[in-house]
Amino acid sequence: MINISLHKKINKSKVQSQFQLEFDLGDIIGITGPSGKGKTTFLKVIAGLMDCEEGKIIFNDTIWLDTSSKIRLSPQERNIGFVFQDYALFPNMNVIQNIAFAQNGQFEKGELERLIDAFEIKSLLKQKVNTLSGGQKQRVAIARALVQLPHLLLMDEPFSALDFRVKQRVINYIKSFQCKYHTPILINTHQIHELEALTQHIYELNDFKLQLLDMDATIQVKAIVTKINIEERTMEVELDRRNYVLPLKKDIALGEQIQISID
Amino acid sequence: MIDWTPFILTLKLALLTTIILFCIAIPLGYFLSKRKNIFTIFLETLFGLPLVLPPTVLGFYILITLGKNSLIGDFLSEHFDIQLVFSFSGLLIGSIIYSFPFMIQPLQAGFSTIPEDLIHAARLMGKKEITILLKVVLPNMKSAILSGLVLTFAHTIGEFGVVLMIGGNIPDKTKVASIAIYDYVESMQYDNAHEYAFILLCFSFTILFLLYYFNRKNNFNLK
Repeated sequence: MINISLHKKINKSKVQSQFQLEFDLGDIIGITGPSGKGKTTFLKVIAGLMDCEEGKIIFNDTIWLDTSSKIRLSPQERNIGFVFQDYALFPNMNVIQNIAFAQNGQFEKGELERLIDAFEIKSLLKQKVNTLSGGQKQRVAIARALVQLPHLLLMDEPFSALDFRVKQRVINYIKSFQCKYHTPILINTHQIHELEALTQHIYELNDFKLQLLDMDATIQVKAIVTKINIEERTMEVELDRRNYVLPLKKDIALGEQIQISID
Repeated sequence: MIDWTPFILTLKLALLTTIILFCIAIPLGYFLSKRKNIFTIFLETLFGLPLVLPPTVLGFYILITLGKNSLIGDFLSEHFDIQLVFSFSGLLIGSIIYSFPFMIQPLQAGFSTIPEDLIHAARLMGKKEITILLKVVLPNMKSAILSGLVLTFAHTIGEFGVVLMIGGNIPDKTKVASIAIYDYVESMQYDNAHEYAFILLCFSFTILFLLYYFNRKNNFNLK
């Protein structure tokens, strides 16, 4: 069981944001919400990379943080895998060196081959990371966090640079990794659809609080109209880098931002 | 026949100054790049002084501080029989102080270019701080390290004012190449002065050329 209760001021705000979360080993938790509300800060406080005004983190009876009794384990003592938004790959190392630097001795060789295959990075292993594209860097960053066999995996916008096909492969691998190692995972994203394939436990960070989302409820999202077909009375909208064909609405212009509902 | 002794002395001084300053400037540069408060600004100002002060001012104060009548000079002379002024050791101390900004400033700038998340990532992998420094931080600031090493080395070779004030002009002990040139010019031996000056010119040009060449090759894109 992981129990997190944090109070932290975000971006010099006068109000403290409250982060209350309780989940089991093996759970995958999604956190969504608008940018700048403190999602990244929340993960960094859990990892011990940032301080908070007040808080307590208990991981399986081990106290990682307790501000009242001044207990604070260092990041090194927490064994957390972290996928950074800007990847944080080491530029002086190539892809396989980045992975080997993080690799836990208990991560089997066969498993590593499966991971490399699933992430389609076999041809990149000897390349320096600053020669990779954004999507390739993101896959290496995720792979590097997984081979660490962490107690807890924190992922900050982990799929933002991946195309649909690769994203599915990566998500499928994460699911199989999860089944095998039961690592709890916290995923930050402002693209809520990315989370639906992985978890039903999705929290929204809004009004300085984490609130559990009702996944059966209708979600309102914004999309851009990219094509209008007057003859067929349809329009194409772009959402999360994918196009959807919808019935044409009245008085809609190309490039307009519209609100649509998703069940 | 050229007397190479002043050159050997110059190289010995430059090499020792560079090695000692590198060891001091790594932890200090790291500290200064991570903290910004009135104390670090005070330190930065202090370390930058050799850039703006005439070498004679610096040399004069070092001479007063290390001289026989000073507290430090008296203590060293009485208890260890060490005399720093007009000796190679004194010259080395003066050189270290005078070349300080040429080592600390490139290293400090190099440390600030390392994204914080690189260090965070390595910490989360359970790596010790010394491993992070050696395997992640330093390899990603090769240009800054090379600049610090080469500039300090080259600057020490070109030193004159501080060297003359602290070391004087004692053959085989403190008479480095720049002093030897001055000596030859004063005694109107222009041919000898020209030989020494030309060797120093070629040497300095070569190391600066190599610095710029390797810096361009090593220019990492950290983002």
